[in-house]
Amino acid sequence: MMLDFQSVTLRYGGIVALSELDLKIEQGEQVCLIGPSGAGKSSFLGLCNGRIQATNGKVILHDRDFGQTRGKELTRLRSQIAWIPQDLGLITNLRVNQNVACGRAGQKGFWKLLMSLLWMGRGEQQVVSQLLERVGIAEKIFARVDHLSGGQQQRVAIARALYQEPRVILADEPVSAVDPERARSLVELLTTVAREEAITLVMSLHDRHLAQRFFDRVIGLRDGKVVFDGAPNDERVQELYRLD
Amino acid sequence: MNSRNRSISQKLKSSIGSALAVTSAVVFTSCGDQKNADSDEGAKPSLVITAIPDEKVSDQSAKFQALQAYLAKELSIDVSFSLSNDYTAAVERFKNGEVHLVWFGGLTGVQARAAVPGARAIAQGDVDPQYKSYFIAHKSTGLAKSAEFPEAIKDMTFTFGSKSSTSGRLMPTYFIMQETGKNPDDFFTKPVQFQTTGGHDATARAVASGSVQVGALSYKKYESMVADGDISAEDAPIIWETPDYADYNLTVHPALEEMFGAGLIDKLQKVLVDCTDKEVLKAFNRDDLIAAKNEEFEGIEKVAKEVGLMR
Amino acid sequence: MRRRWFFLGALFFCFWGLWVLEANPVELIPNQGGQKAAADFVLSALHPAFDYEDSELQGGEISFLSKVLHALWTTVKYALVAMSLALVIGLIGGVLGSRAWWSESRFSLEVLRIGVRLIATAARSVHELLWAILFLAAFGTSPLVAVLAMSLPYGGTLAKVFSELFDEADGSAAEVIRATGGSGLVAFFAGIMTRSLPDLATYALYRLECAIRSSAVLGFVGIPTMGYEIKTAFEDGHYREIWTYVYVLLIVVVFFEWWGSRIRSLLSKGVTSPLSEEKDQSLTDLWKGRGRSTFLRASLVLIFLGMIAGWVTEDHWGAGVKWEQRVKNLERFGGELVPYSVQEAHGDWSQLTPWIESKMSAEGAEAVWRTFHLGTSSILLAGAVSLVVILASARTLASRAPRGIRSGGGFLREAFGMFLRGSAMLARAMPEYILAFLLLQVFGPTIWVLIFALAIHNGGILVRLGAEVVDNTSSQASEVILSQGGSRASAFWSTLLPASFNRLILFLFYRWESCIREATVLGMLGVSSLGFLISNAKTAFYYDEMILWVFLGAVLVFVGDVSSDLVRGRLRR
Repeated sequence: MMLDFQSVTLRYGGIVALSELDLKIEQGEQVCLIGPSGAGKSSFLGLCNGRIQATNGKVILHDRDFGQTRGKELTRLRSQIAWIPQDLGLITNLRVNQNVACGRAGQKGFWKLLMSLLWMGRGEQQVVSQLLERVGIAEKIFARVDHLSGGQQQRVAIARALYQEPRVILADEPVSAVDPERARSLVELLTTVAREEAITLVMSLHDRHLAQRFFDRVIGLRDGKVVFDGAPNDERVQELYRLD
Repeated sequence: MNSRNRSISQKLKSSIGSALAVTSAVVFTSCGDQKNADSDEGAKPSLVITAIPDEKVSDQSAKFQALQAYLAKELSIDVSFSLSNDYTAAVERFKNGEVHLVWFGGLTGVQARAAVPGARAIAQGDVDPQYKSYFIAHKSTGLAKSAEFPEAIKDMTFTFGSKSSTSGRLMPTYFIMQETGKNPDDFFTKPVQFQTTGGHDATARAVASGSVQVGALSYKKYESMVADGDISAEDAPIIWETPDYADYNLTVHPALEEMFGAGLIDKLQKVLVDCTDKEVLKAFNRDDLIAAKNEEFEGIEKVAKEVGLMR
Repeated sequence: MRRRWFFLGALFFCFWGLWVLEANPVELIPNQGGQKAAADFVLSALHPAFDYEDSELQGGEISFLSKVLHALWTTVKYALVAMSLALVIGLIGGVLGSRAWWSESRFSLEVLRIGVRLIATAARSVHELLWAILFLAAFGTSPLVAVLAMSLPYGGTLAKVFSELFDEADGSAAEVIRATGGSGLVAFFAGIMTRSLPDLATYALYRLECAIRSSAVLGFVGIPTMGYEIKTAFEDGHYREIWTYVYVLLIVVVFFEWWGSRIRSLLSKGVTSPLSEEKDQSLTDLWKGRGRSTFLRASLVLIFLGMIAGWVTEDHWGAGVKWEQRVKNLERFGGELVPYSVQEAHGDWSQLTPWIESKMSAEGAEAVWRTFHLGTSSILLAGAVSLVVILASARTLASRAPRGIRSGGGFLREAFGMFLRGSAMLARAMPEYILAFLLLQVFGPTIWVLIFALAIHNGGILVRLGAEVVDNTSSQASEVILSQGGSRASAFWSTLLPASFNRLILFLFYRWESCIREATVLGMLGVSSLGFLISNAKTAFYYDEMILWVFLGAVLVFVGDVSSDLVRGRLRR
């Protein structure tokens, strides 16, 4: 068992963001979250890597309760989960290889990371280069991130996530800022890579067509509740986005 | 102040001082200054001379070279000259023991000796016991020299020299108070000026050019500037002379005896007073040096207290 | 509506200040003799000296030009050394004074943060010239003292600005690092520090430029920098030599401004790789062909080496006094700081309040009042003038095609704009203190000298900052006006100014605070204000009074600092 939500409720003040969530995600599974904005997709992802604490219930990852884990154990747990936020979280005034190196910030600790940023060894450069090759921007390894296009920056974020050698990748609407064709190829890239590496992938998407095309399991969220969970079908999806 | 009270006040002072000392010792050692402090102790001690910058600074170190050589030879010790930035810097450095033999004015000498117990005035110029100030005015004012204090200057622009000058500020202030019964600030109808940079030279130039109508300055400085052609006596004639008072003096720091052995100060005094070499005396702009005692400057101290420059 | 009230208020404060300061325009006309002296002084500016004016005096030991260069190096050297200390203070204080490195919010951390920020603000509330005077008396005459005097307020300023930069930096990268197992420290370092590095460097370079000005000014209290040479040249009556020093100082400061702006743009924009976009290049080739700037690297190495050289090449950091003597001096100085009434009452501190009251009512309160108005009137004057100058000099207005729209006016207008920009550059390159010193020789000791010095320097800064804002403000309304045949002035007053108003006022308040700070010392040149009292106390060695005046000045600056922060915070929202 990989990720286990046991009757999880999340409240911000009086507002219920997620209520009574019960679901499991197995190792290597690829899951897509869809739903209108405000449905609780980002909160769900936040629970998955412990950035957000559940108000009630338990989030269990690898048999460990996120709510009970502290210190070294938490660091170890988190370093197995990669995260690609909506704004990508790249350090735009650094080079691509330096950004990718930050993927292992948790494993490396301060001094090793400092060395990687200041003077990356040839060995590490090669590893980074292979990853970039895989995401298709090998020649950009030493370019400044703010010199890259939006799509290329997303690939850097993916490479950083892969460099972490995670067991889970969480991606929060990673393609919201690019045109449909690029979005398609990026989602394809992420799902392919995750499948090859047997990485669990949890991705939230705005575009339900992409979700239906690339994911076998889609979780529909609305008003903090799971509306459906399983293979996507048009009827349910339409139901999800219906206007009251 | 009786002795018991004094000791309390000194204890209080020293406790604050110690606190300061400790904190700053940390600062200084951490700045790598320790190295210098060590090397200072290892180095040969040197008698450091300075003077109040009451004239062209670029002249000063050249003028003091002969004195430096003379003292080094007569006393067989290391002697050096070091410029002081302004009057207060000369006093401050004397207080801090950075300089040991200083050509002070009357006021700065009194201030320095009051702050350093054991400091002595040992010599003065032959003219210094009867020093005086000139009040000079730009020719356009039409004022001529008079024996009476020129009351008419009260509506004119007026400048002193340096704020710490005896002949350029302290004594003129005193005599204005004597003659008019008023502070300069009250006597003059326009704001009184000071020459914040430059001593008597600046006063003389300001009056000679007419940018200020009246000024007060050292009579010696005025005469030598006229003699050198720096200003013309026609542009800035003397309009009044103050009565005599004691002014310039050479003051020594008691640390000299620790550095070079007991008796050095007396020897220094003798060497200075005996000096007849005109080149050496040029440093002071005097023809001869005579012995001096601290007591001779008690009058200045009294005036300084009256004017509010000492307490 | 708010804008109208602001303008009325500014007008009122400006004239109120001038009234309080008794600044009478008649004083600006020197009397006849003064006119000639002033003319002599100003005309000598046209013939700066290339050799000693009075050759016999110098004994031909070193040539005049090498003396100038030596003074220049000393000035730059102390600035570099002071900045190296200030950077350490600023980085440590900047981190401790920010929230960005916290893993979680804790009360003790908040206390630490506020404490550090208060100390930093206090350190920069006292002008470096005043730190120098106090330190010279306490520790003796040594360059280290001057350097320390500069590095305290500079360190405080850097700490304050750095901590703000850290707090305002985009934290998304740090959040990713923390979410993937990085510690708070790692996340701060890799996610925040790296991201704000260009801003830190930009600001530090600007402060280095300021440090060169400060270092020059410290010469007036006896450190052998440009200010010292200017002062002695004046004492010697060598006006032409003064101008040589002034010109050299201006050239160097302008050079540093240019250098800093080059480095800034390279750091923030980066350099694109010259490589073609072909695939399958080896890592080595990619590394060799990466975008990099030799200029940038050389500059940073040069500044670093300069700092080291500054430390190493000074062989007289100490005052030449024994260690025990130094401790004794300090103890004495500590005693001199005790208020006289307390000394007289044998350590009875209940005498402190009446003493302060009597000092305040005698002269202190008035001096603080005047100092406040001096700073305020000056900055308002500077603001008013710079508004007009911006209209005629902003790049997007002073061109043949203002804001991209072809209209009348040709080469002359461009040239005039360029001339104004150049003048503003010189105005801000000139330290206020030296500017006031020079103006003093022209106008004599009137309050106008201080007002002008402050207004000219700060006007030069406001013109640059303001023109940048106006240039970067997108305003289609202004383009409409221009394309309909409206004048530049009407486009400026009716659309551009309102659109950039908040940011312009932001800068005005930012400079107001530093104007007040500078106003506390300018009085030392002999015009009634706090600085004047400080120099009086210095003359009589009344350090207890001096510390009171310095403290009052610091409180004034502190209040100005905090209120300017508050106003700016509101304007930003």
